[in-house]
Amino acid sequence: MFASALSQLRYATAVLRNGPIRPRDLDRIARELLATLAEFGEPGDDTALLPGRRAAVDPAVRRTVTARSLRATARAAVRHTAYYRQVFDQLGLNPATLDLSGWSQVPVTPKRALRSLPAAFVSTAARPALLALTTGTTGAPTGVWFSREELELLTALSTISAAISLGLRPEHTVAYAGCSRATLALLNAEESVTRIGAGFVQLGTIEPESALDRLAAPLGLPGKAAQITHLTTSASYLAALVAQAERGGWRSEDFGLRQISVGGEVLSGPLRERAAAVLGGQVANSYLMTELVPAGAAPCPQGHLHHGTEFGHLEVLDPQSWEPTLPGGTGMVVHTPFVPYRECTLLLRYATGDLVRLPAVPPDCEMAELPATSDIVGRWTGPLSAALPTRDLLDLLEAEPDVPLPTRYALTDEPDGAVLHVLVRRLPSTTLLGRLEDRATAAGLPLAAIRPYDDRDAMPPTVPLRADLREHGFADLGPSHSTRLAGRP
Amino acid sequence: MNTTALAALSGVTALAVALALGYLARIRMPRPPVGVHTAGDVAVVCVGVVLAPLLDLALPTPVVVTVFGVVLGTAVQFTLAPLLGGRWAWPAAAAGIGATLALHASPTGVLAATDVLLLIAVTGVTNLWVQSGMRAAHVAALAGALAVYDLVATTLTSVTLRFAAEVRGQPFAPQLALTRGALPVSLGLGDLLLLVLFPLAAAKAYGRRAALLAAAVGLAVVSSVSALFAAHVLTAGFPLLTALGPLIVAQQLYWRQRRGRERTWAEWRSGAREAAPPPVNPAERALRATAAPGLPEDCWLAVRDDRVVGVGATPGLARRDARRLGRTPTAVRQR
Repeated sequence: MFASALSQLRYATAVLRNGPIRPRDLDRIARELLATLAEFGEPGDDTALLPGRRAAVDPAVRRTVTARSLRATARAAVRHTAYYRQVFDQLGLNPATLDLSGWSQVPVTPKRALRSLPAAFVSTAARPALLALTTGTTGAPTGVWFSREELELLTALSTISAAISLGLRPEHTVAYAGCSRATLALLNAEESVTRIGAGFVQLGTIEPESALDRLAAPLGLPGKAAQITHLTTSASYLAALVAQAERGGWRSEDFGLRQISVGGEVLSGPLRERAAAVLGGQVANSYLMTELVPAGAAPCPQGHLHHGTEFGHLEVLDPQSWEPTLPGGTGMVVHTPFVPYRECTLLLRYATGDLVRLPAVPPDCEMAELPATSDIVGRWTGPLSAALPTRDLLDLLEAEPDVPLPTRYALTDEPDGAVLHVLVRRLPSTTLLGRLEDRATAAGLPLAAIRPYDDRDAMPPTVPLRADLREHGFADLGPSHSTRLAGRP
Repeated sequence: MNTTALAALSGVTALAVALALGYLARIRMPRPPVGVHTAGDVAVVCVGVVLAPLLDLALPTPVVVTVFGVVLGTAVQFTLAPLLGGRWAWPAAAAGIGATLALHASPTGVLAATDVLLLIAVTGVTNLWVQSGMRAAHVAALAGALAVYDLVATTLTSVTLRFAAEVRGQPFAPQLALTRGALPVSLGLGDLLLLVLFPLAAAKAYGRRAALLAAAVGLAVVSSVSALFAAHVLTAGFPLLTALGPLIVAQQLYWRQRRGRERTWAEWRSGAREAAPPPVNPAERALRATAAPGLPEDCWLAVRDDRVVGVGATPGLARRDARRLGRTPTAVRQR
């Protein structure tokens, strides 16, 4: 306990001074938490005080700490990265004098700037160790370099989060059904889950039929629940699993799932309900992004997404004017991850491309002290994407069993207005179309028309989905390939 | 020595153990979000025990009284807080400290007040340690280390005797004294802590019988030493922990051998009589299951214990087949 208290004291001192965090301190706190859970079955009082637990902070104190963290992050970015040195020089900005009211003088960093030259954002004071590539659903993958120390911090924070938020315990087994190239998420999940003593299975994005089979199969392991208990995946791959499960006659009793964690893509309400019905367990989504980690957001029971203030600064801005979005409006998440949690790739006012709505009235939920937005409602590709965000369209389409999952759709701007192109099971689909039109009108979606297709090739380009990043097994490659392999010496 | 006081010493020791065990059974002390007692913490306690008398001998008396008063007051406060609430625990602790100081004109009053504060503090400290996850093995390690230390400090050197002479009669002196004078009937704070601590740790780790045995062994040691003093076999300070320590270690070894491992706090609170046994491996019985003839060679069998309860072309389908038949398999294996 004395050593743990010392680590907590050193960690708190580093945070208050915006100084470097010793990974060993956070690692010790995470390990002590696991030891506490092993002995007592639950953490002690005041878990909100643990790193990353989104403790309520007095607003005035939060403003002071945020201003100081922003200054420290800007100072480090200007001193150590090529991109921000140039930007601040050109604008004549002094990072040491920035405060919250003047923060808007710092120009928003577009995603393409990071994508085009990740090295321009890497601090000369850090030792880059891992290049985490995004899956590139919006085009070419974005690369973010992390140092070894950052990876250790992230693992410790993930361990704390998994043990407390997810309630993960040694008897559980987590299946990770995400793209294997999502390096950071995969490394973090594997390391934190196994540190807790829980089991970890990397399923990958294999054929949904095989994935369902593996989720259903009894593990037969001593000390573990009979089946896989937790599933981490993207919304579109979850949709593929739901489609296969509904088609294949699977029922929730066939699985032992307690929780399905969804991230990386927009999760619709109907998909959440269908997944819970056919796969079992609670379906929860959170917000984490490779570029922003460890900063992220978690949902509250009232459906808000609450953004922690410990690891970064959230702004919700109009994607065209970069002015703050008004309450009730739709804007883009612009985020500044703080030093000392980040030391390698430094980003100031990073435009994530993710769209959210701001609550029209201040929330009164249990996490009301933290900045709140809606769930991620879509990705900014132009004004149409804000007027008709992905979430609204998926809520419309994924409630219809006759629209195959994962939903294939495209939105085009035509002279008469926005047209929604959607892949359906079969044509003609007059009844389905009527239902969709009625529900779109009732939901107030500004659509000029809905056009159904039964051939995906005939559609305009559809939204890229992570579920399409399928990993093949030898059986998927066909008999000739298998034969060649079998004949290999 | 006063034989009545010597007999009463065993009674007071029994009272201290009973108070602490009652507190453990009924009162939950607040815990920090993370933190469990470790071997490192035992080492810190050992260092504290070794350094305390040496520092006391080196420091002026007013400083020593102040330090002991603050430490004792804090311990009384956190002991009473779960009972009275944080709001009243501080005034109660302050009143106890104030009353002890106010009795400075009456040596007997100071002695009695200090004894009461010590009993409360020992109840709280031992509970704090055990309720923070201190294990019986930790207490045994502490007892083993202090057994050697007590031999050195009390018998081979004069540290304990000089320390006892220094604090004798002072308010908040770290010894439970029943009489005054040059050779009082008393127990050192370290002795009392160990006498109370091991029954508590044993209760959590191994259950009621272990706790009763631990308490009985402690009382037997105190009573035996008292008897030796009454018979004038012993006439000067005796290293109680040198006698008690090995007995605590022996009990720990016995229970460990008998029970396998200690119960965790969570197991104790859930009412488990013993630590959870090692989990059963379902694969052992699954290997013994035999499939009905006529099934394809490469089919999968869903197995419960050593019976096949479902069949399928894949592990998941075999499990689903079992579910359709109303069975819950514990393993699957290929035929």
